[in-house]
Amino acid sequence: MIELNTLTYLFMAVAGVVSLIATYLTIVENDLVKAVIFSALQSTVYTIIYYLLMAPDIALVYIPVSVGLYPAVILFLIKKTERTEGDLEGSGGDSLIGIYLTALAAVLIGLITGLNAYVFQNQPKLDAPVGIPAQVSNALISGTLFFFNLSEYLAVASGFTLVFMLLSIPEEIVRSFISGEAHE
Amino acid sequence: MNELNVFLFNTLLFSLFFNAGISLYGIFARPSLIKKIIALTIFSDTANVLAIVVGYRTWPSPEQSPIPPVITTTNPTTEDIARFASQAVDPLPQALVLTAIVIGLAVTLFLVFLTLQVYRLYGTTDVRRVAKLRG
Repeated sequence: MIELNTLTYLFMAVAGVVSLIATYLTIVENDLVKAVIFSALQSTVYTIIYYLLMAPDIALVYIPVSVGLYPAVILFLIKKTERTEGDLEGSGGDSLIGIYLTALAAVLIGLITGLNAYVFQNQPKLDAPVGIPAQVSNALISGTLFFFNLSEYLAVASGFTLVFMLLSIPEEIVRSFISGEAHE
Repeated sequence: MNELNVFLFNTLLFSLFFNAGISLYGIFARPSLIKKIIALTIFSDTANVLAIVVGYRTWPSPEQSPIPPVITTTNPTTEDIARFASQAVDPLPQALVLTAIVIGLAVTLFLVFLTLQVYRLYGTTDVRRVAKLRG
């Protein structure tokens, strides 16, 4: 009978070996798009390692940054440097409202009910009965951190949309602008 | 069974160190600037995972598994706090790594724009050809 600890360590070892293979393929690969995909695989495996090493908060932050945003940025850079133009539908978002709402929700409930409320906590507090729960049926969601991370992801994504719009300016226009400045 | 656990954990550690070595090779030896950025990201991620590994607690007895550093009870008793202190992993590396991930994203974006500007000015992202250009 295999023990739970051994199973955890087995998953860790398998994840480590898979990340080793993915890193090797990333560095050796000549096609940069394939290299980015292997790098995303390595990031996914690192997320599993974070979760197994009892760091669920890090896993929550690491998934959108390293599996979503970072390969997107590198892929756009590859597209630009290989001169294949792509269409971009930019969509701004007011996701910062989500952060405000998360920060204010507990305060508003506390003001209405007259109880103590807590903000910015990932675990229950003694003197404050009102707050966002840290745990939903034995799964840690880290209280406000979960909603902060979700809103931050959307806010950073909308900011990156602006970056992508800058990156999607055609190269000829940029070059003529740069050379025009150089002649003046 | 204990030797098997140690072997499996060492496998993870050796994989991480080899990852760091391979990504350092990618940073120094590969010619493409984009490949250098990818390798730098892998290296920083590996350093983050190593920091988390340092904070991981591997020494509890086999019937006690480590838990995340979060108290989930509203009114913790003394036994709860003692059990938490004897089982929870170190939260300090996790706080540091949380900051390092976000800062690493900003640094990556800066390097992406530098690479794009190099391509706009020199027409290539190969450092061997950039080094041969003059003016």
